[in-house]
Amino acid sequence: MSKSQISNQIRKLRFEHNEMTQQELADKVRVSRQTIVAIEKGNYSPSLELAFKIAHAFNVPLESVFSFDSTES
Amino acid sequence: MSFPERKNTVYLIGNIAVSIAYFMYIAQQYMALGPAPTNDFRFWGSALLIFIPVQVVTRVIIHIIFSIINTIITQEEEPDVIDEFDKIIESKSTLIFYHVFVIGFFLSIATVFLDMPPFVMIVMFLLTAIIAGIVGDIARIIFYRRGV
Repeated sequence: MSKSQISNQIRKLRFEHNEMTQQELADKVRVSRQTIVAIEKGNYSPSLELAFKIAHAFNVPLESVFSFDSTES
Repeated sequence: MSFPERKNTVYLIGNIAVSIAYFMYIAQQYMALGPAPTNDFRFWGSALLIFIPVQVVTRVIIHIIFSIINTIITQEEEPDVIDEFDKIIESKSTLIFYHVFVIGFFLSIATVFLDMPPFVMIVMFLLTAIIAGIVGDIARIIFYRRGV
């Protein structure tokens, strides 16, 4: 499984939000902790809906959480 | 190892153990019929039909036992959320299961074309179901570990 071209700042944002745990974020966006772990590691690119939910959980715009690296292709 | 990885590993081990035990039981029963059994098709037909509920019941029992033991050991409850990640993994591993099953199905049909005895086709068919199930379980574990 190759790494996705989509990178994310979830770990950093969790740290900045009172060291929010993966489980707390998972509960906020109604997914399992396993899914948050996979997204954080770049092993899974979430759907647009979930991406927006994660951005909303941190109260930041989508592009502050996810970025697309077009140079890797 | 995460909860889904643990769960699917236990399913895989259970699947292999039950399949081997069932296959050995069926082989013993077949040997007991004698060197040239007259009701070959009836025997293998019932063996295939019984295998499906055996697998379903086994999976339910393994699930219950795993849930109890896992909760006792890890104090972690089974996640009640089935999200998009779980669904995509389920869908991809099911697709792999079907691919393996279809290949095995055509190989078992090919044995008839090659004039092999009918029991070879049915044994191949039974093995195909077992192997496809195992491959599907392995795919699920790999997807949970490496992502999709």
